[in-house]
Amino acid sequence: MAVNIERQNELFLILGRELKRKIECYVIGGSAMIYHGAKNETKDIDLVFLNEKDQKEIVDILKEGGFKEKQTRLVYIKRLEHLKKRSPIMLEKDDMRIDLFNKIIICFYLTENIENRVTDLFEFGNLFVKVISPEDIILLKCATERAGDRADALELINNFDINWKIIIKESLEQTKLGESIFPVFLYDFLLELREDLKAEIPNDVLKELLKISENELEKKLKK
Amino acid sequence: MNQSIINKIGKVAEVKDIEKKLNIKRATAINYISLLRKKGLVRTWYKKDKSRIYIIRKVAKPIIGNESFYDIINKYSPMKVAFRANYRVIGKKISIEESIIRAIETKHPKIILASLTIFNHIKNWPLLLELAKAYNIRRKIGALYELARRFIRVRKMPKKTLNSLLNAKNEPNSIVDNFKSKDFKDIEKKWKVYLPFNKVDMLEYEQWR
Repeated sequence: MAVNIERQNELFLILGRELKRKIECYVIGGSAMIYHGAKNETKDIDLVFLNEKDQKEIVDILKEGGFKEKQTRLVYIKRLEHLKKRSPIMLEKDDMRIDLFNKIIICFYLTENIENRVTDLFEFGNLFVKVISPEDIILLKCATERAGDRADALELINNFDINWKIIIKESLEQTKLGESIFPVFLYDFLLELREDLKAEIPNDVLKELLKISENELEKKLKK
Repeated sequence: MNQSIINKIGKVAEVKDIEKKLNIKRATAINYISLLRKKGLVRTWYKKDKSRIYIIRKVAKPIIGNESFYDIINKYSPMKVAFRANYRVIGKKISIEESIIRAIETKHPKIILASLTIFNHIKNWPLLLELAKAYNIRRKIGALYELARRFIRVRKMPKKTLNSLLNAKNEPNSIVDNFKSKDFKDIEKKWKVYLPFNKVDMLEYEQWR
């Protein structure tokens, strides 16, 4: 049940050839990690579209190709149950699963800053696939918290020169946009990573996040 | 080479740094860099004095696909253009002819200006015409070709291609929205297309050569 870089590229090429117009999408999670060289295979391909029209067009092509829609199981963390409606469209065929999001990834917004930090652009015919940065992958791993997400985040922290300032700034930005207190989740996630998996996360980063989290919680309580 | 050596070298290093950090001879340090390069873990940068700096990665990034039209422009043009991400094309090779079409499609003056020199490398004029037709930019191609010909050495376009470009109808008339030329009114009139450049832009281009 795994997708490697060749299978992923093959699928994107088929999609790009079937498309009648240019469509842009963002590859996140394990699929993005494959392009960064941080992983050899992933369980599912995660794609984020900028609008529903683009998402629907890809869904239609995949369905024509034999993919079947899967009932969205609550694979994401329980605290986000109220956001279930933002769950992706999940399609499955044989051992391949594709999750297609529309702008919002559960509680995480695809902001302009994330778009500006894209590290790679791959052109597959009419499908333009953008790969998000390792910093943003870590943030998303914190948002979804599925099995294996911690191990993936650890892999990124160990092998890439992570700019923690970007992570802290983006977590604040996400709080402004959404209803969740993102820095609190991030602090929790990073603390666990450091304590359980011995990830090299600087003390200053955790301290700053704790301070921000306390402030954000206070603000939330006042409301 | 094990991970601890890579960790010791650090993210950015010159040969002398590697010598110092690992306490090895210069030749051994160069050998280490060569080994890392074979694994795809090294990228070389040059300082102003042409000395090399090595950027070391802990994991090798897979290199996939072919070069983009930005790479092709940079290969032939004296004026370089930058794209903020690593841009690769998978499943096909972008031709020289397509590069100029794609440059025009960006509607970015600097990219279009940098791409003008590509006219000198076009061999397949029918392909250029076919692509221009598909993208509905035949008049734009014609106007830019004529502009390029005044300032840069470019290959002569066959008359048949030139006439086909000139006969195009119902095409948008601006290459870059809201940009018009003050100095090349004659070309604009002939091709019924607004050029986004003035003489000063073309002279700047010459400066790069």
